[in-house]
Amino acid sequence: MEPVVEMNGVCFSYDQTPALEGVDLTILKGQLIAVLGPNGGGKSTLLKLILGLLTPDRGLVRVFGRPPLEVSARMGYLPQQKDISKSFPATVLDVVAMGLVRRGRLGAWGLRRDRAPSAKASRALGMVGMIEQAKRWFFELSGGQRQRVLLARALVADPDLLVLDEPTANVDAPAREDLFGLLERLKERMTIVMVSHDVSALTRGIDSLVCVNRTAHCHDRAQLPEAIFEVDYERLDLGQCPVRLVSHGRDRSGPDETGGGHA
Amino acid sequence: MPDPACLGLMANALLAMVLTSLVCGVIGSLIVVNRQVFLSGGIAHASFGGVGLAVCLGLPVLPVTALFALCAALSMSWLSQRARMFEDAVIGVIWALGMALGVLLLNLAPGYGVDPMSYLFGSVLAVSGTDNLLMAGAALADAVLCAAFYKGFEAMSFEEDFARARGVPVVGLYYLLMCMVAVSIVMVMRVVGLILVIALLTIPPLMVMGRVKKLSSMILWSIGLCLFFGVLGLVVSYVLDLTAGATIIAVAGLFFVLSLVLPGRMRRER
Repeated sequence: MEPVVEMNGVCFSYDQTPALEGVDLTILKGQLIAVLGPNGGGKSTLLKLILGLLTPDRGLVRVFGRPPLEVSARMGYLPQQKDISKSFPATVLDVVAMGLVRRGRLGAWGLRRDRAPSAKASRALGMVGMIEQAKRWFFELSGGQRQRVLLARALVADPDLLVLDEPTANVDAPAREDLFGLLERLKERMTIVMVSHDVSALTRGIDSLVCVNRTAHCHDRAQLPEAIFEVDYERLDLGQCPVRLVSHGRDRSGPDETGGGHA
Repeated sequence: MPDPACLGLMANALLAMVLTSLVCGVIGSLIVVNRQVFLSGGIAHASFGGVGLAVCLGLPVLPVTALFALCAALSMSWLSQRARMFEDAVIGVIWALGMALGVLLLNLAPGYGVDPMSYLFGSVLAVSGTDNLLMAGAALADAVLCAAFYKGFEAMSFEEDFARARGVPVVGLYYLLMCMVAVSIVMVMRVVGLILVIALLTIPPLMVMGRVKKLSSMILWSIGLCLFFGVLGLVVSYVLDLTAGATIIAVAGLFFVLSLVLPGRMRRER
């Protein structure tokens, strides 16, 4: 299968503090990948390297075989909400339409308008079930509703790669189920990389699990057909990879007897 | 019966106020949503160095100051991008250096020269036809640039990381905005002065923030409010015989305080 994201020996530091070291990762077309790890372990950094928002100190990042910034129009991004001003004057529809700005001559500058931006934005809002709220002021919405609108913004330009940073933050349980259902459907059309604290995410439709803590380990679900994922919060507190793969009745060789945890 | 010469001055001042409102509404809204007010204040103050330079060399004040302000804006933006953590300190230093340079150059200037107060606090009744023409140019340029780059400015001020991920040239737009700020501030300095201009840039957008649903409506409302404060301020200053620039700012400040007790203001930032 065609690789969408390739990372080879990627290292990145913020000033002197290393955030990621020696990351090798390949994400194939049509996969749904969950990225898991302790806070400050480098999950968001990994996503920003894929998006080209950060440049690696060493190593190579390729998306669709090219440097990430050259293919920014093919990626949809849901960042964490914390950096958005709470009073910004924009309607829900405006926010979604912002997902249509793109690189290229005059494109991002606004002179080249997308054809029917509000029709596209409305369609994306329909996908996340927020069409009734289109005319409302963005910051009138609840945290969970805002999250769905930002997901619509990530989807509006029909990306081939969807990059989601904690899509389930601020989202209540029923909405979270809807979200996972939507992601499973979207998987037919695009590759999805998702950072999540949410363990229930891991039981549905995930092809691989990437554990990130300074370095990245990829657990391929296909190789562990009957594995169920368990998150060991004690390990998370210790700053270790929190995921243990418990396979039933299978003789799996791991570093310790409880399964394939790794430091 | 008012003096016709005085009426002519008033008409000129009114035209200057209209143009100032256009400039301040556009630039003010953009710097408020982009959180570049402090940097813009720094640019405004540092520009006084340009006034000193122009007077000292006997050159026309507005073009020389505009050029000086552009240099100040570019160096401050560049340094504040590089310094990151100490951005405010760096801005503070250039802010004061520019002002000191202005005073020193005025000291060195031959003859009695110019009253620095008129550049610092404005003297709208002394605005000439040429000044108005230059202001009209600035207003037109701001309007065209803002319309051309509107989508980029909007996306970048809403959320910088997302805009960058979509390929919006965020750094380029940031420098462009700072250049627009520099030139615009200098063009309106005869009206409200370099020290007071920041209030006219920020008060109207702050008043409508949380009350409008679109960036474009914020800009239009800011232009309208600016004009309202300007005209009311001019009338009050004429009746009470006060300094026009300071009166305009005082009027704006009064309405700002009033707006805080009205419903529907800004959201608390977490």
